[in-house]
Amino acid sequence: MNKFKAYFAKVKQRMIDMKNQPKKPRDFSPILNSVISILFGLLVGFLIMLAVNPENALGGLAKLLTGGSATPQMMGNTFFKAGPLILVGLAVAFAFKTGLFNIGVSGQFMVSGVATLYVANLVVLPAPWHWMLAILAGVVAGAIWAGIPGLLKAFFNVNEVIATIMMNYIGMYLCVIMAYNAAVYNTSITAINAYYPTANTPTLGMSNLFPGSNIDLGIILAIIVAVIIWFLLKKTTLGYQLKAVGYSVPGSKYAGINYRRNVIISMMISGALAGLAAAITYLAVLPDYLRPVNKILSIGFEGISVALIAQSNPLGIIFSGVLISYIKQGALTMQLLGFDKEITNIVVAVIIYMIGISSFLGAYIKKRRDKHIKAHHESEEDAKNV
Amino acid sequence: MYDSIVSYLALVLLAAIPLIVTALGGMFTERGGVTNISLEGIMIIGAFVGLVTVNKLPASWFSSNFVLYLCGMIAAVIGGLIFAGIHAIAAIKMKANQIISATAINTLAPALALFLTMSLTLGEAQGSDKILVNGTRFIIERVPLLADIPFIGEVFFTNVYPSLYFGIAILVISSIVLYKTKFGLRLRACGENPHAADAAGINIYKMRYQGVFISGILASLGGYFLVTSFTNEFDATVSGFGFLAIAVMIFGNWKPKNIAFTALFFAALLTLSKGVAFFPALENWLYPPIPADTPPEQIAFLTYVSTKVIPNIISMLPYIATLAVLVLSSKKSAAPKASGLIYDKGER
Repeated sequence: MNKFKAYFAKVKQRMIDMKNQPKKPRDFSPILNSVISILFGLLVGFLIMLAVNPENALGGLAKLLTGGSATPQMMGNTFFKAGPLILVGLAVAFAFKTGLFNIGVSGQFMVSGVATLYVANLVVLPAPWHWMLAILAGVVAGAIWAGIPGLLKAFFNVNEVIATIMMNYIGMYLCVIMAYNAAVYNTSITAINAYYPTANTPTLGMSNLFPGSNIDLGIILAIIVAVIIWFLLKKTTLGYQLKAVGYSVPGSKYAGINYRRNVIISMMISGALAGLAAAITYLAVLPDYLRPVNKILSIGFEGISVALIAQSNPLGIIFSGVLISYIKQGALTMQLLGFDKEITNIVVAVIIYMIGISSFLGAYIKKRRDKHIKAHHESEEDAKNV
Repeated sequence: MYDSIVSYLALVLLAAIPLIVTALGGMFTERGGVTNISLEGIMIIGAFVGLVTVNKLPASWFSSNFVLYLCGMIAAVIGGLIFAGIHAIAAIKMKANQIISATAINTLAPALALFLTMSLTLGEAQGSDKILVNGTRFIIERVPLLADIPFIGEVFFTNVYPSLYFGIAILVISSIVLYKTKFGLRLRACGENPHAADAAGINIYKMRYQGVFISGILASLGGYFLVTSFTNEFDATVSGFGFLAIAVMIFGNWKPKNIAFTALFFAALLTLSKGVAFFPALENWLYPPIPADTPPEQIAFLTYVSTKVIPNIISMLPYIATLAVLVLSSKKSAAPKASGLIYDKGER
């Protein structure tokens, strides 16, 4: 009995020790990395503006930084456009976590857009069910379109980068064929859109909050999904397995994780997220129209940017998605001063690059600082000895 | 029929050369152990810099258009080297994730090209983002003597772009460099087992820099060749050829000869939708004329099928074929083992 008592006393003492230990400072460095990278990107953007048009550069920068929130309308539109960006960012990041590079988000987006609009235009249903079914169609189509490269990767070892690029093109041509179908094609706008109002995503009265803007359910949906994805990756067995495959394929196989199943699931969820992004894009009351053109949409590549800026953290993606949308809105007002809106992509590229090299720079600065402190100590010691 | 085959082959070669050159660039960097999915971005920069040079230099300075073409090539290479350098520093010196820095370049290149086109009014007109190409001036009409050889003379030596000869030369030189020189052996060692190569006294970082720079040179040339011979206008896009080149490289198993055949196969399918026009019999079979006694309600549908469905299905073919062949061949993929991995001397 005494043995037990002694043991419990020991445990209790250890717990007290742990409590009294100084708290570890929380590690903010990933966030700091992102913030510094963003500032640096804006600086480079400003320098380029200065080089091209020195007189208007300062005004242009101000417009770029404030345009996204200048009026309630602009602010609403910033959030409205952020929804799809957050979702495609999540799509890319989710695949990243499993060690997969889904470069085919654009293709999944286009195919899902067609599926969504087919349901929106060919099915007649009352209001909540109609748009819900249309969104579901988009999600399912995206999951299938991304699931194909997933299957090829899992069973035939086909490189998913190539497979998703090929699926982009196949999807694009499929999209053109489907969009020209007379049953859905709207000749007056040379595109397809949802023409039953029951298929539009509800605005939930948020346009009262941001008068004149197109803000709707999309952004709320995007944020909820981001939290779900964070939970899925962080707190569930499935998330753990997916990440394990991402860290080490042989290691996860050794641990008894079904590699093939996880690769396919990861790609399908990634595609489903891209599909949701397409659905909320095309079902909005004032949407981007789905045009049958032989061009891969850039949205999938923007998703890569969104994911990288947040370093694939699902909650961070909410912010990076809003950030990119904000800068894009700002660029629209900046154009009035004669700067091309492409400056946003230059800024985004610099931000991504800086994030890529930030860990090296961080380590380098730390090394320099440690060296400096050490040298400082040594000189103090020397001074004492003398 | 004979003329049709000649024109179709010429078209296939036109599309194949930029693919071959760019894919060879990808091969060199991957063989050295650095992935470079920024080939697309570097192609755009090469095309942009080369085109602007060709368009802006006064034609009177040059004795012939061929010299002007060469100047464009040199300018394109310089642009490509700078962008490859950006990737190389991040990927090799700073040990960054190679996908991230390449994505940055893929984002930066078209944005910068468009931004400069608009800001410096390099386009056709004020406010236009399209640069006029006018590539036909570089066509070599006839190579004396050689053009008289039947068939070969017509395909290779009549009405061809200089890119054809440069492309073939690059292919031959690449095979020799990769397999027959000390440099090639060392480069391959860096991509397969860098630690062993390091132990043998090879400077891994230097080899990898050289690999990435070669990819910059070749990808920028690929972009320049593509826009000068395949398009009339340039609006900061190479329509995914950079990514296709990566597919060609993987499909060609990182070997020059296989890459060349793959690119030809790919180009043949890629130009099929245009090439159908050269073969009236095939065209007639694919797009049968609508019979006069068709009920009017069916005419709309039949036109939809023949103008939208069939051409787009033909356009899909190269991509579907690639997927199919990848399924059959991926099990024995011979990717360089250390490709895409950061080299750290201290790592075991």
